[in-house]
Amino acid sequence: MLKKHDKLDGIQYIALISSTIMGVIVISLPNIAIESAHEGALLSTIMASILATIFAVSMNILGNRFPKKTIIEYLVSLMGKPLGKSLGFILIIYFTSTTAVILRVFSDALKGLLLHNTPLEVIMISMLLTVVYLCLNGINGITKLSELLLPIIILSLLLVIGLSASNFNFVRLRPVLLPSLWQSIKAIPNLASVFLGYEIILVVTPFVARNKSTIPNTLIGIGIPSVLYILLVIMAIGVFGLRPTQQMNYPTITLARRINFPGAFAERFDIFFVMLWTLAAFISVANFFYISSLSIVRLFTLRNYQPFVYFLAPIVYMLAILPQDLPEIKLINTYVGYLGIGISVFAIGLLVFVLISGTKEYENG
Amino acid sequence: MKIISKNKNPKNLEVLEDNNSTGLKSEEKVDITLSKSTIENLEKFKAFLEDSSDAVFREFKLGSQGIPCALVYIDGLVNSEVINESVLKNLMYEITMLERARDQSIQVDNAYEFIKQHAVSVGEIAEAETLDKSMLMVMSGEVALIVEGSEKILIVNARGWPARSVSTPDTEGSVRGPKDAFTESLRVNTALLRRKCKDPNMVIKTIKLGRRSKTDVSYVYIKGITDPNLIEEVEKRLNQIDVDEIMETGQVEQWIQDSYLSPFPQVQLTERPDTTISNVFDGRVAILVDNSPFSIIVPAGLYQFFRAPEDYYDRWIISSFLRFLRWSASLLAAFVPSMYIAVITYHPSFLPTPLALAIAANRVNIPFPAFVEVFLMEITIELLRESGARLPKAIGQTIGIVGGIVIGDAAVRAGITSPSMVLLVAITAIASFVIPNYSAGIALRLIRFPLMILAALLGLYGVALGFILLNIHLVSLKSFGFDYMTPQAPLLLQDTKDWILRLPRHFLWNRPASIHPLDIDRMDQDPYKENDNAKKTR
Repeated sequence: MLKKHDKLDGIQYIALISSTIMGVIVISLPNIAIESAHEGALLSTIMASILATIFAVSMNILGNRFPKKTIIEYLVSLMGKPLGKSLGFILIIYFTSTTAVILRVFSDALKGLLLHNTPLEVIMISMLLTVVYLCLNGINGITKLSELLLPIIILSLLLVIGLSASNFNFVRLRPVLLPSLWQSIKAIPNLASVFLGYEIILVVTPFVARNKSTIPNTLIGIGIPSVLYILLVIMAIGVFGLRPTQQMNYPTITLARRINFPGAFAERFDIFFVMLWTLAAFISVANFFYISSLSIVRLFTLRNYQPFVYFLAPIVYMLAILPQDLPEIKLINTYVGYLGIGISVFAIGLLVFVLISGTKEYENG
Repeated sequence: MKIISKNKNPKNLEVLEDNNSTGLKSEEKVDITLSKSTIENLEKFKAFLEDSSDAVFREFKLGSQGIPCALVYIDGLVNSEVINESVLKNLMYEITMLERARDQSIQVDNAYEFIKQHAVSVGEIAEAETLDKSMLMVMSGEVALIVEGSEKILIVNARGWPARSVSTPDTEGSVRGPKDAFTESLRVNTALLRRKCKDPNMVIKTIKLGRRSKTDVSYVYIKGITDPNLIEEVEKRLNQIDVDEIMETGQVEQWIQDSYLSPFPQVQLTERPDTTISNVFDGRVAILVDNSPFSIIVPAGLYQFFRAPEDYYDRWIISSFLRFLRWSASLLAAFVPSMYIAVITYHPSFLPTPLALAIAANRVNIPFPAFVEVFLMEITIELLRESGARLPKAIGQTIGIVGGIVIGDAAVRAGITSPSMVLLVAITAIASFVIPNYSAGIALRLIRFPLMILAALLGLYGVALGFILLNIHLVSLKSFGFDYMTPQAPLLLQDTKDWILRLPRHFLWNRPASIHPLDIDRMDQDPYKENDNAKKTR
């Protein structure tokens, strides 16, 4: 009865994917969409979400072929040891740097929004320590927490979206309804990185219960953030207009600030929303941190990942503290995003290769 | 279970086995095998019990042959009427009549059998082949009858000791529903449970725990509903307890819980038979300890501590509202003090301007930062609660008045705290008392303090971190291997019907799936359909 870990059921799998995707980016999403696609913001977001869904589903199919292995292990069995291990190493670099970038972006935003006088290091270290505490509980702790926090995150976003409806003006939405197709397509790589987080599928495959197809769950897991993101973009443009939104660093927060409950205890809903957003940021940092430490362990074929949690924490901290200023962070963020898209494309290539060569490893095999 | 498994060295295992075979340990060397001689057997009892003034040794001669016999019992644990009327009178007086009527005299070699068959008119008797077994029976309130010529000792049940009668529950009062509560006597408690469930599949197993106290510990479950793995785990954990004395359910709880590093209770304690039995019906195991008016229910989930017994007796809309109230109250009790600190210290713009101004005006003359103010007041209210808890009722009320009204008012007038602070502390205190379970309420009140420190250090971000830390702790907790945060994490949709909402009885057709009952259906899933079919066949 006291098993080491239980298999993840459908809802847990969904929660894991959705909560990893919905992270820090939530507060600046409309800004990113407009900055990279201008009039094509809405169309581009929709197309990017479709692209992300394709990536995620192909990763899922790839995982189905190797139900007992993470990508680190089946890369080795597909490509041989030297190549497979070095590709695995690139993956680890990607996961670790993503963790660091999310952590840094989160800390910067939090410092700007809530804690103006608190040193950045304090925010980062306190966050990282909490992440380490969670990761010591293993995959079950992480999924259960995702399950617990995801409804709160979704509700808080829906609340912001729903309560902003009174400020919504349809006229402002007009420019994005007829976008130029080329502009939208050009922005897709940039916007697809917003949906990054689904790569967790590559690593958690061996923990998922396989009594039913996992693809519908992947679709729901991607679908929840997609719908929320699209609604968010629509709402931000509808409330502020295209150009003003582009000027805002954190349009979602501004959206929340505009809300006023009549007769409530809280005047500035945005402060409360930042608190809830902390939960979203935390769980996505934690999930990335966990998959990076798990990948390291799998790469070196070790049994116990817990020492690596302690080992990884200072590295992530160093990486996160490295960038000097905001433009530098943005640049690194973009590059890491491209790396993520590259890995997604690579996963599709790998899937095609596996499908053609017909490699298959069954659960009992 | 870490502590217990650490104790598993060979030496303790030996003791454990001794413990299970009710091993008798004496400071002096006594030959504990029984002999055929009454005098010798009596001497063996006396070796242990001679110094105890409550031990009674009654020697007498049986029948016309004058066979030496003896009774050994502990005065106060036995019903002397039963001994006098059903044992001594029969053996000393009626038996000679019997001899005369049958025209045969009892001999030494058939005396034991004859007494067992014809002379002792008591319902429950037993035989003991060893001294330690009979000694244990005597110490539990039975009467040992030693007969010359037999190596066995007849154990006659004449238990009867002063016990509190069944009364109303002290800590779990209810407006609706039965008003009986467990007492200190295990037999009475099991009878209270049997009265509520006549299914012969309900098993009440009893083991003896405690090397010296030999306390009866019973566990109750329903065969065919409860997960066999759970029963096995309960048995395993109970049998691992190896201490000198077991005084109370709380001690057993501490030995069998999963994590001793958590303020949260991992088993449910209740003094209500109806709560116990309804949990047993759900597929849980109840553990009763002799001398304790509480039962332990395992496994426990956090949501169980927010349920009151009336929830199932009242209308579902009312119950659901009350449960929602309890959950919000618990959030309020845990997080409002820290939110207040964070908002006042770091983000005063969070509040609407008039409210912020009102609080600021209140706080103008307060010499302390918000954290110190809240901390002082929260400590005060905990002091009041603790001092009032064990005082006699009349003085307890005085403490309430002195503490609540006089201190609160005086603190405000003295300029130590602001009126809004007193209001806040009072509201959180009331909210924390809404939680029906005592230990869960204490845990919630306790976590306020670390949260307050986090809020003082990091503002609302600290509160959010505290919320995350609390939830990490909660999801990592297990109760007998079952998840503590069901049905939230892992989410079990079918269990959410009886979670924050308590849906109408018709919808609660399944037992909680989180504890893997063998038989998940509590009733037919669609009773109306069944009725329709019945009509059709008619």
